[in-house]
Amino acid sequence: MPTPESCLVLRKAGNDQLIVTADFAATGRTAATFHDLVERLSVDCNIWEIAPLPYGTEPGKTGSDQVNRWVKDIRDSGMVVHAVIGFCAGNAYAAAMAGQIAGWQQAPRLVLLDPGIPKPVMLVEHIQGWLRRFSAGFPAEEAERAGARLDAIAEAGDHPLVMAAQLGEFFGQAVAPGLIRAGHSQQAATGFTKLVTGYLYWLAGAIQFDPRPQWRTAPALNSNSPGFGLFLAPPEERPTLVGSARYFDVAHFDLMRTKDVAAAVDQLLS
Amino acid sequence: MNVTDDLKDILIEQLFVEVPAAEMDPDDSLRDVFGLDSVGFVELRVQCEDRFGVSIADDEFTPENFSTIRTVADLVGRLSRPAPASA
Repeated sequence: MPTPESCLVLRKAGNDQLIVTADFAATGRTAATFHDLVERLSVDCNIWEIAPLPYGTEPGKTGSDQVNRWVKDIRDSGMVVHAVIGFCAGNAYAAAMAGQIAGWQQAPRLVLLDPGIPKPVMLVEHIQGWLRRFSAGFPAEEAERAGARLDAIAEAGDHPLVMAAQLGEFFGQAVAPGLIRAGHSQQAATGFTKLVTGYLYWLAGAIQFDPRPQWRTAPALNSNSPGFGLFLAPPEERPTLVGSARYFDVAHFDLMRTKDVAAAVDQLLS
Repeated sequence: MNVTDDLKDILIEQLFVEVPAAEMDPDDSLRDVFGLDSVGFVELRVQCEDRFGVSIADDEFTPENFSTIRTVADLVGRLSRPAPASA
């Protein structure tokens, strides 16, 4: 099996069947990752996870550019794509990849884990969360200035890729100093700024897609967390947003480390 | 000091983990047991690069490699070994 440049190999199998997973799996994040889910799956397939663009190379790259990069490696592998699984905003990329893959082989199965349609406001909310967390030690004036600047970026309503660039710069200038004040090194603050900026571009790319045509026939496994997955959609839209929905009494952050969810995924892949 | 002891030292001195070194099990989860968050993992990566003189590429900075003290020590060991000479 060739080593993909744009994806991480989560599992190797002795056959030509491939499952592709779509998520932005920052090491150490609170939410479980596909690494956790794959440990609990019994399906005998190669499993890859899409990797974000190398840090620093994101400016100007659209969601389609990112999908094309992953799909090229998937196609070049020569393997048969059995399924594409998405998590959270990654479901938008999963749908886009499944659509392209169906152009050269039988359409792969699409499985949605807490599918939520990514929106520009999520870019700002992500940075607001970090600002709240690390501005505790800021002088009042500095915190106020940072909040006003963030509001201005949100209100300008620029293209998501432009917002990603602005918010990444904002993080480096306004939030990263808070990391240093909290005891982290300058290198870690710089490294974390790159990571956050990478996520912003990844999310901004996902916003480009309308995944609803592919989602309409796909099964969804949803957590019980308000504000995540199908709960992001108005109640009247939920029944038609996905092909079928199964709800688990487990939090969004734990969805992919839950035994019953892994069993349900195995069943959908069998 | 070996890599495992050095890693315990980094966790205590640089990441302020409040678990005595003698009580740190190499297979304990860095996130669930020692409480590292995503910023903490980036700090651990930086400190490993500084302390052990290795370069950890983005595709090596994965939940799998940064799961426990043992997996990080294994990664540092792999990255520290000279690459085999090409034929």
